[in-house]
Amino acid sequence: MVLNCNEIKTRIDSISLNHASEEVVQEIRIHAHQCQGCREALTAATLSAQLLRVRIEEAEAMHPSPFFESLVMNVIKAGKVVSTPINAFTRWWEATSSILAFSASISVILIVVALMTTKTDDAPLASSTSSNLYPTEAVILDQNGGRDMTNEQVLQVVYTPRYEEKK
Amino acid sequence: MTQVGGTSSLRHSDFVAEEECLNKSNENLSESELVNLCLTGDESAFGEVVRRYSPRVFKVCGRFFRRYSLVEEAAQETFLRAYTQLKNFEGRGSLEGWMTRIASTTCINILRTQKRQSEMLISELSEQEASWLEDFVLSRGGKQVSSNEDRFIASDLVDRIFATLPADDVTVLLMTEIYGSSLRETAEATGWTESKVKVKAFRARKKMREALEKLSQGVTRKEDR
Repeated sequence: MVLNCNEIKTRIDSISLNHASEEVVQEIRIHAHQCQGCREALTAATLSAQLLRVRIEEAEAMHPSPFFESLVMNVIKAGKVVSTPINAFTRWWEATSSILAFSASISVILIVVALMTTKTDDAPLASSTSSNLYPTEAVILDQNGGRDMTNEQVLQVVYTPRYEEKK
Repeated sequence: MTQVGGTSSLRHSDFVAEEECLNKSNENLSESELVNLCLTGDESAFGEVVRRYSPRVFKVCGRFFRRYSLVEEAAQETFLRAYTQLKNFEGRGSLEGWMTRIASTTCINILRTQKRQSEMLISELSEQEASWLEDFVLSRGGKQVSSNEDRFIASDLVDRIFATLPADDVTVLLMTEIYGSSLRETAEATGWTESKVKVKAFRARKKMREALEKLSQGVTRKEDR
């Protein structure tokens, strides 16, 4: 199977060259021999693998100083507070708190706007009930042309007892 | 006066002898006995834990940081954390493995708090580094890091490239390099799922490769001019 450049680059990035089998590396090498882009990618990946190997080897030579134990024990004996580890929740909170705060404020604004709109819709009905602007005859005879009254208002006026109108 | 001084020195030597005796008795203890003693508040037992596992912890921290002071700081943080969390050690795995996991987590957390650089520029390379990189590119990756000088340059270069990568990328690069292709071990050490390790490792390798490719191209172009 012949692989194209993208497939070769994906293969280079999918494996650790220090641990990959010779067979896989050879396949990449054969392709890279004919293609400059892939050759550069393979050289960079080889360099990356070598640098990482150097880092690991360097770490193997790292040893504690003879005073390290007493250093740790002195801190423990002194009862100094150990810094608290960053747990998963803290990390999640740090990342999402601003988004959560933003969405919460948007929700509050939307709720307030919704409440205000509902109150405005109710207002004409309430005022018409208290002052009774439209006499029953006018409504029945459609003298107002029914232009500025809702169905609810019409029904309310029609079913209001007449003595309330006289008052 | 002489008598007082003599008494105090005698007391001090007694104390040292007693401590040495305690250390020697702790040396032969098994892991579980050591943990039990630590949990009863025996500080000398924890001293033995530090003595026994500090070489391992230093190696783990040394993979993440190059500067000795940083390695020591991370190792100290690891032991202090282990001291406070020892009650959570269930004894399912080895104490060494548990300490290794704490060391890795501590180093990852320290890496996360460090400021990251945006990009490494060719102009930031010293002449020595540039010529070393050029040699490597011209040999098409055939040059081996063998001499002490090469190792120093390589180590410095990797440190500076790491500074430009996100902390998680550095972690996954080091872990996969240490454990080879074992996703399970990397996942255990980092606390990520295996698929997350796989994806992150791919992206991290790509980022590091691209950064090096860019530097290599820059170095060879500079020479061409």
